Amino acid sequence: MNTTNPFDEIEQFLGRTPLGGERSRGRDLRTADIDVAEYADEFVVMADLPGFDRDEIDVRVRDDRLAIAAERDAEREDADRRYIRRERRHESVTRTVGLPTNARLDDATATYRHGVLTVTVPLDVLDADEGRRIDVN
Amino acid sequence: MTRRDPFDEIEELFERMGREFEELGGTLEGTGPEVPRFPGARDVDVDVVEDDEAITVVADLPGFDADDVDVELRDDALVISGSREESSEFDVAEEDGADDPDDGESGPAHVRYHRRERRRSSVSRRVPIPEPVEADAAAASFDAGVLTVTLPKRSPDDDRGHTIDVS
Repeated sequence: MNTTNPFDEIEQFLGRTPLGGERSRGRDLRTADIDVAEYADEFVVMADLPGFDRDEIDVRVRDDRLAIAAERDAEREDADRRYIRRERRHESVTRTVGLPTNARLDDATATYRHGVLTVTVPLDVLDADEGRRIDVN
Repeated sequence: MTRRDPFDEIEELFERMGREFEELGGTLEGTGPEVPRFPGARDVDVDVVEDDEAITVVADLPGFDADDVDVELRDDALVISGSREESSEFDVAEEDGADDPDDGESGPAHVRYHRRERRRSSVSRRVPIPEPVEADAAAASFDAGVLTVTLPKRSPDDDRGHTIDVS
């Protein structure tokens, strides 16, 4: 019936991460969880950024790296408003991802929907037979 | 600055520990076979905020649609669950499959995942609510992947029936 290992639950309670790795939740609160997928003709980065407005999200390319940053005002706690539990990421979140050399950076697009940012960067298709063409000036 | 009574603080600490253990007990019971659990993984990050009138639960559910999200007040806990179809762009099996044994599919190898950290398909979380609330007056909204549930507090004297003001 119940297949959950109680020791895992205890470790979870204590904030440890028995599995480790990227799936675990014992992560840096200042980074976003991302998926990075490389297809034959495009490079797709999806980042979980729940609860931001579009204008609070900054996506830029610098030195072949994609930098994602999101910032918002901190929610305050005062005498009338008390946090019983506080796990969600607050204020600023940043993350950078290396881009492949054949990325067409000028054609990158980004969308934000349901708290998920999706950045799509088209890739120059490298034809195995022809190699990569270099323009002669 | 006001100095706090240390006994108040100790009491508060015990109260908090009690709540944590309550939650631990809740998860030890298991949430049922329909809800897969990954050891060491907390599915949904939540904030619980209390003010004079209400307890507000705020939960991060990025990538879910309002229709995918289910909220239920069960006993003295709020149960939040979300389930969705794998996004079409990502339902192609990853190249090696080593870090995700749950994903048994095998597909064309034309996609290469450099990272897969985001949670997929279904998530759930049980959040203990420390005070009696008016279940009928609960309100929920969902925006930009964030669920906000407001649970108005029930005053202790109207536990059964209405309170009649004495003028």
